[in-house]
Amino acid sequence: MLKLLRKIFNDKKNPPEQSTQKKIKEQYIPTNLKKTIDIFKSLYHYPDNSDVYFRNLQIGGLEKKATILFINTITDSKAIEKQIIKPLLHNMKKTADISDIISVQAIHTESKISKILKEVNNGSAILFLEKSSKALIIPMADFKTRNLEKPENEVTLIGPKESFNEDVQTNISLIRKTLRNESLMVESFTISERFNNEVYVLYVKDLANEKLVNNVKERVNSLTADSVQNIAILEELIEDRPLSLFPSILYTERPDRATFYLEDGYIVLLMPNSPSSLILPATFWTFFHTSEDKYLRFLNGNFVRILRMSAIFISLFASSIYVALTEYHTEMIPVNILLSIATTREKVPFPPIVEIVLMEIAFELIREAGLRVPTPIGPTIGIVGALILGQAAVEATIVSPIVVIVVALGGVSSFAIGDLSLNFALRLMKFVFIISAALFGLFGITAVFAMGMFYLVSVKSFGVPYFTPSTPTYTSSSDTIFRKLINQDFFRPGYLKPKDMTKK
Amino acid sequence: MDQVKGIIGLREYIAVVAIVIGMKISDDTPSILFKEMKNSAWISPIIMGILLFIPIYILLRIITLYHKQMNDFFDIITYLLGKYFGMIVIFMLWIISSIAIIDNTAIYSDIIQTMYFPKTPILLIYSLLIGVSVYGAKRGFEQIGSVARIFFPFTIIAFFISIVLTIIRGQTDFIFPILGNGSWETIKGSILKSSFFIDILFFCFLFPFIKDLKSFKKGTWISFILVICISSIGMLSYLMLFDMKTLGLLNYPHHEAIRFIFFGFVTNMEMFFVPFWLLSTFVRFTIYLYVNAMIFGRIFKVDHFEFIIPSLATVYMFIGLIPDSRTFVYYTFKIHFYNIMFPILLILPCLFYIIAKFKGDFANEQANSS
Repeated sequence: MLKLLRKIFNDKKNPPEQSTQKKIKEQYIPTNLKKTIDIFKSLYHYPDNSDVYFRNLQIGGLEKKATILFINTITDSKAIEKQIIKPLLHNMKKTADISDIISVQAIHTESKISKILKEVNNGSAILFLEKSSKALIIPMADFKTRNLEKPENEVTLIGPKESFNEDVQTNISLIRKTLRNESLMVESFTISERFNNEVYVLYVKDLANEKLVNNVKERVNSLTADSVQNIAILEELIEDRPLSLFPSILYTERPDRATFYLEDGYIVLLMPNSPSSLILPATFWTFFHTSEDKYLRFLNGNFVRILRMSAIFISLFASSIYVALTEYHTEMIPVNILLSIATTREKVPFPPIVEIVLMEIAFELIREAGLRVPTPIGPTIGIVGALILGQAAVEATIVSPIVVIVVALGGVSSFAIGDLSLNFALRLMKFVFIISAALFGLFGITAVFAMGMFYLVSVKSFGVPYFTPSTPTYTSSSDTIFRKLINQDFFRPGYLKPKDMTKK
Repeated sequence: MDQVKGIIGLREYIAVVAIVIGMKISDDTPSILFKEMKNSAWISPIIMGILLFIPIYILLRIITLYHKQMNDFFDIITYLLGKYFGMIVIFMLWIISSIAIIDNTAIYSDIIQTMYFPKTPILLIYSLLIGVSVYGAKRGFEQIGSVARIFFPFTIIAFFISIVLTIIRGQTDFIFPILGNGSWETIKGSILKSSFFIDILFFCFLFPFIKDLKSFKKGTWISFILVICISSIGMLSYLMLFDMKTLGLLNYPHHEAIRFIFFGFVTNMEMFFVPFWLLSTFVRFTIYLYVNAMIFGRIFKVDHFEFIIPSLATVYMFIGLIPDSRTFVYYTFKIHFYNIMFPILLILPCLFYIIAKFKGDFANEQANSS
């Protein structure tokens, strides 16, 4: 028994197979080709691993043995055949450099085993040569991905209609397409040890504040996760307050939006497998704005902003104010309206708070179900929701019609808030407000609101206060609730301390 | 790591001062002034303003003189008055501020209870009020300033709408006789009640938080004038709505006024104004508690004074809860409190000035600058 226990503990501490593998990975490749190939075959568990290919060949002319290692499913195998294997086999020259024989765009050498493994896993073909202590790395990656599509979550009427997809190279190219400048930096960092996930940090070198860039790089590099699959997971790992209701990093799928922020000195993070980017630092206003505000004509854009601001307040307060008014401040409602509310509530057996919470939960359920339901039966949810939960509940006098109106108004308003994280924050806060209204009426609502504001102004995203440039004030284009005319927009946001403040 | 250092700008500071002093117009202070000066009460803020111009100017002058050598207002006081006497003065100021907190929180929770939530126990109302203020005060002064800045425009708009609606409903005849009990009585009353503006003395403790000295001075003057306007117009509107006879019976004229007014089909408008009033109330007590704890921390050498705010606030709350008839006890108390305190704001700055003059610091400053 004791032996068994000891064995288990020892195993946990030092699994023999893993530690030897780790040791091997830290070594350099031997000059003996056969030995090298054996090392890699054991590392890739060849031939159990079915898509790892070792192609042995004899280079014509040089009469040298060579082996090409690649993973078939993530490389362009036709190109390997045409550009590497064929020239090597058909070579006639007796003295020639390998790089002069094969016709590929880029080629470099590597001798550390761990680095070679990383290249193979990233889709390169590796050419091992007899009596050589260096392997040739030939990038041949061909990861399958979908085509460019329209943005689905941040829909606009005007403006570019491309969105990021899962291929990070495409995403970078989309940004470079809009921002044609030599100082746009694309730096990549490997952030997870086991699965080699990469993060690309994008910023404009002569605009972005160096301290900020270093801070972001430091935070990204200090991650010790085993795997960070995509950018949504990265967001939680690097944000200041993961437990906070309010988001502090902007998540967008629109390349045009990312570019706008890059131009202002913000930093954009991209990752493979993520059809979106992270923009940081973010303030409350970044979540409040959409890219279309800038594209719409001046007045229309600002009209939309007013609508959105009122949507925020309606979705936050509609239900709680109803509860407060009917429970505590009935005298405030004009008599006619009060009477009509009273008549509809006559047969309802519950107090307003129960009614409201019932309807709110029902609405949230419909919303969540509508999102998860498979598309073919999607419309059913709408019918079930509208008919059963709305009309039938009213007819059965479980809720009064006015509650349906209030909750629906709040719900519709919450759809007008584009950013998903802000949307969730407001929907969750709504319940806090409803409870506070049930306990203390308008006094409770204002108390919670005041506390919320005290909390929000102390939130910082990468050192930037949440409500700048409104408060604290900084020189900036003061793009808060309203935007300025584009030709009067002179300054980059001062709270980022960009290297160049003026836009002209 | 902070990308930018937190600062309090001009706007935040104006909002803080205007909320702290301007809010007085919505509690029982106007009725104290009306009791003292009858119809001429609305002129008294202007007289006080003229009277206090010199002390405030001197205070700002003193701060300008020493702001480079000294870290804060505590240092200035202890430098000018000596270590022991200076500490006594600071301690006295702390006592005043504590009394003001007890008095005001009790009155505000009384307003909330009597005017809006007659069935809710006072303990709940009081503790919610204190709880929110403590939460805010613990966040630090930058955050308080930012919140004040966000709420201030809405509060002032709501207040002016209520004033306009009140004046529309009011009658101009009610303001006569303009001088109330006579010109001498008005001036005497204004002097006695000039501690209406005593908070300005406490704001001097905040000058290290303001972006620069220029904003501090500018902010003090702008908000001083703003507060004078707000309180004058406010009291004028109450007078026009209620007339002196009724006003003598009202303790909280602002809250009675917003019950009276209506606009179109909305007959009871008070709940449009109360949320803004409540938000400013929270901000006001947040500032009071913060300044009070800061002075306390300085006297008793507590470096992280934010942590003692909850305990101090709890003590104040329980003291505030002691009297049963809060409306009357604190009303009477406030009258005496004002009468006792008026020399402080008038004399203390002059004392500072004379000592600085004797020490020859003004001459030194001139010599240094030339």
